[in-house]
Amino acid sequence: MSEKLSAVEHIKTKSDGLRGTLKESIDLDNHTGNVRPDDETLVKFHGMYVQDDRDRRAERAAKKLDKLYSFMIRLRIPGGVISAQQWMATHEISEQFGTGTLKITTRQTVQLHGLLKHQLRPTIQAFNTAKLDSIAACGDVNRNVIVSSHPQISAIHQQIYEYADKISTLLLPKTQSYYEVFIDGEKIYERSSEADPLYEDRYLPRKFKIAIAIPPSNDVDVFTNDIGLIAIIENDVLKGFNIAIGGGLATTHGNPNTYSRLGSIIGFTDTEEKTLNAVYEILTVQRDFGNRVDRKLSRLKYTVDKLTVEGFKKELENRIGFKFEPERKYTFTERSDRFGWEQNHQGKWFYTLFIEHGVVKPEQKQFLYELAQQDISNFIFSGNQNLILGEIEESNKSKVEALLVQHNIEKSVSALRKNSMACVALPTCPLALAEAQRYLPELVTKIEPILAKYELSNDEISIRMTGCPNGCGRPYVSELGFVGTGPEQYNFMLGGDRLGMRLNTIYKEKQTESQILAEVDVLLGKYVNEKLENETFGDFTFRTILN
Amino acid sequence: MLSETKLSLLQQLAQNASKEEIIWTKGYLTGFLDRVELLGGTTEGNTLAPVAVKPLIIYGTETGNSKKVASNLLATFKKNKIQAKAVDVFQYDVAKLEKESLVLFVMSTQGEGEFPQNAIPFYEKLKASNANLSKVSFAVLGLGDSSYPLFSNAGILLDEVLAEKGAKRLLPLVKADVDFAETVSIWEADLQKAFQNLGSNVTNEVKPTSATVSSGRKNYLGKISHKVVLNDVGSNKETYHIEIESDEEISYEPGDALGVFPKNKEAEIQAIATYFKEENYSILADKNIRGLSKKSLEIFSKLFEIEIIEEKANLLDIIQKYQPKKVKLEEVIALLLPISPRLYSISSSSEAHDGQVHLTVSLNKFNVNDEVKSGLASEFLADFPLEEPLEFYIHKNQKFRLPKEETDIIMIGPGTGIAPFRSFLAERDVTGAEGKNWLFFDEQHFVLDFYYQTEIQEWLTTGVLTKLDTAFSRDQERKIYVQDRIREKAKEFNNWLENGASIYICGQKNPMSQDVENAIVEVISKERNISNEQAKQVLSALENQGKYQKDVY
Repeated sequence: MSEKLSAVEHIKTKSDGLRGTLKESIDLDNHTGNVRPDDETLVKFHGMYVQDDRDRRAERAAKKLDKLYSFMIRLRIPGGVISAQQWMATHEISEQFGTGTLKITTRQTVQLHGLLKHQLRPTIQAFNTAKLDSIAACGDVNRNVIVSSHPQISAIHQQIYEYADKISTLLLPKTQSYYEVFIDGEKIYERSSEADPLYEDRYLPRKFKIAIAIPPSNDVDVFTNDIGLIAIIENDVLKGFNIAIGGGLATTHGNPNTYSRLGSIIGFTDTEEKTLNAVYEILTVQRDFGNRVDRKLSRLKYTVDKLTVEGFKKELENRIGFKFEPERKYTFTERSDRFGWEQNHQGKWFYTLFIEHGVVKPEQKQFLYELAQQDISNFIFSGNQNLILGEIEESNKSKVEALLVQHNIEKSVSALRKNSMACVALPTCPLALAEAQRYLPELVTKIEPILAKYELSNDEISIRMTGCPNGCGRPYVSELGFVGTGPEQYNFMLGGDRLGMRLNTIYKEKQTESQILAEVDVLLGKYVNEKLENETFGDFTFRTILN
Repeated sequence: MLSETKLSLLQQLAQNASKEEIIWTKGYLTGFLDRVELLGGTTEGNTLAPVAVKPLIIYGTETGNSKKVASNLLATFKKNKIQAKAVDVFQYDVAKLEKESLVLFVMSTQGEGEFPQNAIPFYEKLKASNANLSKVSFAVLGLGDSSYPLFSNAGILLDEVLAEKGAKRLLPLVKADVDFAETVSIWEADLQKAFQNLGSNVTNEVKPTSATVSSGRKNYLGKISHKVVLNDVGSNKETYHIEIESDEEISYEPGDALGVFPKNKEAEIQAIATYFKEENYSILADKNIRGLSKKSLEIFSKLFEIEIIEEKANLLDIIQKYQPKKVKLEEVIALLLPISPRLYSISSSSEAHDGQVHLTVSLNKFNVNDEVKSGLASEFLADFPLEEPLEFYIHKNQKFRLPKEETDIIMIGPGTGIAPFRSFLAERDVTGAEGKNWLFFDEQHFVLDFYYQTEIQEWLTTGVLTKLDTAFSRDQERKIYVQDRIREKAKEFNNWLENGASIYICGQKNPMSQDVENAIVEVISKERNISNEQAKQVLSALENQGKYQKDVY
């Protein structure tokens, strides 16, 4: 290759199956809470990020203490469903290690923050005992596969849900280093059994996300994923999947070569074998054609645009050995979660609990623990960072209701708040330029009176905020989007639709809170007076403000 | 008479010495001369003619120093064919004392001029007894610390009570300071000379040659220029890094300590004065009103005409509890001792830290009847305002010194015991000493209590610190400490020792330094395949060579 590979590429190929010097970092480096620089990259592939509490930096420096390094660990839970026993284990682990906070992410999983280096092994071992792992939850590999989370919506949900696990297993790295470093200690795995025809020794050029949507719900924001599968169902029979490629939201401030992109549907596959084959080979095309020089331009979306959609499809069809069928018709009508009680076709009950930005509050945590002890439901993480208590027998419904009352869980929450989403950002995310998860609840509280003034309190406007342009909170597919640009200022994004089918665009740059509130007031005022019948706020702003 | 070199050395010494140092040197030389004569007129020691005395050495010890002096004395006697025995005062029956003929006491002093815990019953019984000791000859060597007001007080009391009961002083009381080695060797020489006289039935007292050593103490006036709590928010500990500077040049070496003169809190002394209806009470600021001993409390019982049941108590607590009669404050003050200065190991290097003196002071907090109280001195320093005049002195610690530049060192400094090792490392960094350095540290929590973490990281990066071992006791279920790390690193630890490394321990005497010492003995025993006893001898030999030094408290 004529251009210089990025530093991360060398770290990956030299890593001996993602081992690097992780053992040394953990066992020998007693002077620091961090791991060695190359291991910071490798630890991601095992589901962890090293972070430091940025709020504490200055004071700790004065105390001659190093930065407060800790680790975030994110589980791999394809489809986002765990058992009551697994919830109990997760709860107990979070009480023993880390900050005690459980954070449900937009990728249907849960993460723990504030784990200290010496707690990593006991944490991972405890998860392992509960049959949970964090393999490939971060890093340049296929991440947690997500799937529409409301089983009650479709009679064949289970059948589609199982694809998440099949795809996840198909795309797992073959290296056993996760077990060697974090669980078995001394046991050395046979390297020959680790030969990895998919990832080889270089893995993918960048992170890789796959989602499966079950219409009519687009709760997974399917077009924001590298691969989006849209289940095509006719008369409660799964016919196959439309396949979309090249979605991705992350941009870089000041780098005009970066952009958000929604996935392009390239066709339809009708059998499981073909679908899995296509998914697998999309990864090999990305592996072989993706940009390994500039990590800012290495996601699949740039590869797709480099090859063109048609060019990519041609290369892919060569590899899979068959031609895609034309895409089938589908319709999305919703993206939000369905809060409260719903019943599926078998008569089982599902209760969707609002978890603001996925941060399980202490009283919610206690409620969930007691519920898990009764073992009368499973636990489903939604792509909107909420929690569904599922598979509840009719006879047990009253028990859940009693616990909800006992813990005073259900409080009235505005529609805007229920449709709000934020990433972690400060103080732990190393990329954050501004607040998100800690601040959006406050901003929502300040917008609520404006909504009330215009009698829009029940309007399900989506509002999303991230601390940087990487888009973990998917702000680019919201009706009110805020992307952090610096302390207490955000790019104000408008024009996205309610269902995640259209990207929004920058309306005003670098807005402060007072500017945001003034703008929101004006925009909502116009919306109330000038909207067409049934026109959503996102569609209204797209039609009137941005065109 | 002296060669030019020797004369110049002597002149140089005399010119640079303080008055006290010259007085001490004079005493030293006289003692040295006596010893030379005793050994047959030359410094090449011949053996003495056997003497027909059988001295009994009785020692009272808290830190082990008295025991060590007694053992060395015993060894010297054995070499000189004197049949002596040594016994811990704790195991000695007072009733037997009448039947002894020659008893040598080595007695240390604790706290406010008190006997070691183990020696109290002996003294109390002896004092209360009707023993007739007219056939007993004795000599007392009192060990102590001259920075305390009641220097070697236990030795004084013992010397007095023995004389009271009719025993004859073979030598007058000798008081030895923290650096006791020289004083002890002079005492040994004096004793042997006295034995000769005993042998020839000459009963007149030998004129003492050893002077009480007072280490010429110079007080400085400085200020605290910077102060920060090293622990992060959430720690159980509150350890202060304190930077002190003075317009004068502060002369100290790594290993030295800084002495401060703590004062009582205004609110506390005001409360006492108010109770006794006295407005002029400033003198109370310097009087010891905390942790009064049983003895002091007995005296107050008399003054207040009440019965105080406490064994140890603060004056204010006594007043508040018993509401004694309102005597004059000056009567109370007359019974109070001055506050002893307190020593803190210096954690800086003059060379590396621009002549400043740094301390690492843990605010000593303890519970008394569910009330959190703080140690007087640590609180005094923790609360002392910046930029205000602070009086202090440097306490020289010749027994805790860096070895030659090329010698490797192993530093074991858990908690604030890290203080002198920060000084050592800074010194070795700035002087470019070639010896390797290995630090052992423990505290409760890695993220909260890792004192001087960033500096240690820097020393690791630059290679000044060769090896680091840490243990954080509360970061996992099983509590681990420095001694556990020493055991884990047994092989390497022993290798370092065999390659000539010196060992340093600083921190709590009990149980830390004892646990560490046991671990080191275990390591030596295991790695060299020798018995525990033999390993102890190895360590003791290292100690005698100055290759195993402790600064424990």
